[in-house]
Amino acid sequence: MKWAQVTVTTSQEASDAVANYLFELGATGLEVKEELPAVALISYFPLDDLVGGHVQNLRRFLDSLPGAGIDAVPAEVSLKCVEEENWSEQWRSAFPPQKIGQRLIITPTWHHITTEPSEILIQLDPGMAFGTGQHPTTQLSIQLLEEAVTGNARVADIGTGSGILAIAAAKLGAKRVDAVDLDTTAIPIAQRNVQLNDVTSIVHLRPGDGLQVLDGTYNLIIANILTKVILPMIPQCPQFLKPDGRLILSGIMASEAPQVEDQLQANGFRCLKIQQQEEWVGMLAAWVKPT
Amino acid sequence: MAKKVAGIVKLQLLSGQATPNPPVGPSLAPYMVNIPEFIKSFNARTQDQQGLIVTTVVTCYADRSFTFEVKSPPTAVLLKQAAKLAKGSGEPNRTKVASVTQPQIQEIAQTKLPDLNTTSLESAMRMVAGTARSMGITVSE
Repeated sequence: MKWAQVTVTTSQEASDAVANYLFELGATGLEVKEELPAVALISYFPLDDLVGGHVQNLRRFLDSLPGAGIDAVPAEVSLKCVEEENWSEQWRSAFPPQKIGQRLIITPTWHHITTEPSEILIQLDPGMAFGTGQHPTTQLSIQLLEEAVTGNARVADIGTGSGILAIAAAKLGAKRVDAVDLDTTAIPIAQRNVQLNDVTSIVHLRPGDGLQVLDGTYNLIIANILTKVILPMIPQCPQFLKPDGRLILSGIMASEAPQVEDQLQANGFRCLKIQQQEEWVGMLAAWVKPT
Repeated sequence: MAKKVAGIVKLQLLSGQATPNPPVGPSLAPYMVNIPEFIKSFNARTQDQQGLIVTTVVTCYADRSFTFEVKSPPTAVLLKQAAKLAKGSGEPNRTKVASVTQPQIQEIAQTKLPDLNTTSLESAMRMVAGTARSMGITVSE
C-alpha cells in the first residue's frame, strides 16, 4: 500500500483550524512539528483518486482563513508519496543481544541464543522507559552487581524500573531481592519481566518511596536513580544494611561523583570501586559498622 | 536517572484507535522505539474517550525507550463539544452551523493555555474564536 503524505505548513494561530480540517477530510491522525512561528501538520491519506481533491480543498480552506480573522501564512501544502513499511517490526533490529560485564547477557525475547554454561541470560523486551540494558547507568550497575552479589545475599533494589537489576541480582545468586519503585506504572512491567525470567520466588516487588518500605537488613542495597535522590538516601542506608553490607550507587554524573563520595565517607562508608562509562559514574561502597 | 532525549514527537490521534499505520509508524520509526508497546499503552490509557481526538507527546530517549503523555483534546474538538456539533462547516464563510458564547470561548482558552505558546488568556481566546469561525461556528457576545 502507498500513502499520500500531505504536509501543511501554517501559522500557530491557524494550526488548530487546519488540523481539524485535515481530520474532517479523513486523516486518521497527524504529526505536529512546531518550528515556530510556523507549524507543520503532517497527515496521511491512502494514495487514491481522492488525494488531488483533498489538496485542492485544503488550499481553498487556507485561502478562506483570513475571512475568519486568522492569518494562515505561510499556508503551504506539499504532497509526497510514502511506501508502506513494516513499522511495527523495524525497531527490533536496534536491540541485538548484549553482553554486560563478564557473565550477563541481556536479550529481547525474539532472539533465541545459546549461552555458555558460565553465562547468565536475562530476557527483557524493550518498551516503556525503564532500564533496558542499553543505558550506561544500567550497565555500570550490572558490572558492579557481578562483584557485589554473594550467594544467599538479601538484596534491595531501589527504583527498580523494568526490574532488570533485581533480576540480575537474583540470577547472580541472591536468595531474596526486594525491589521497590515509586512509579506504580513500573511495577506491572517489572512483574512481567520477573515472571519471564522465572525469578518470582526470589524477587518481591513493592510500590513505595525508597527505603521506607523495606524491612529487615540487607547484604546489598542498589540504587540506580539520580544524585539528588541518592544524596539524602545515603545517611538512611546503614540502618538497612547488615555489618559489612554493600551499597551500589549509579545514575551519578561524573561531575557529581566527588559530592557522592564525600557523603558516603561522612556516613561511615568506604568506597571500594568507582567506574565510569561515558559521563556516568557507578560506585560500590562498603559500610563499616562503628565499633 | 536522567536519560538523553533523542526526540519529541507530537501527535494528534483518535483515542483508543492508534495503529502502526501513519502517522504513528513513520513518526516513531526513526527513533527505533517499540511501536507496538506505544500503541498498546496509548490505546489502554485513552480507551475511556474512544474516538475522541487527543494530543499525545512522545519523548523518545537515546537508549530507544520512550514515555508519553496525553494532553487535552485540540481546540476544534472542544469547540465541537461546546457547540454539540459533529462536523464543522464545509463553507465556513457562508454556512454557519452553530454558535458558542464568550464564556465558552474563555473556558476552552483556559483549558488550552498550558499547551499554547502564550500566557495571555486574551490571545488564547482570540485563537479559539478564530478556530471557531473557521469551522462555521459563530461567537455570540
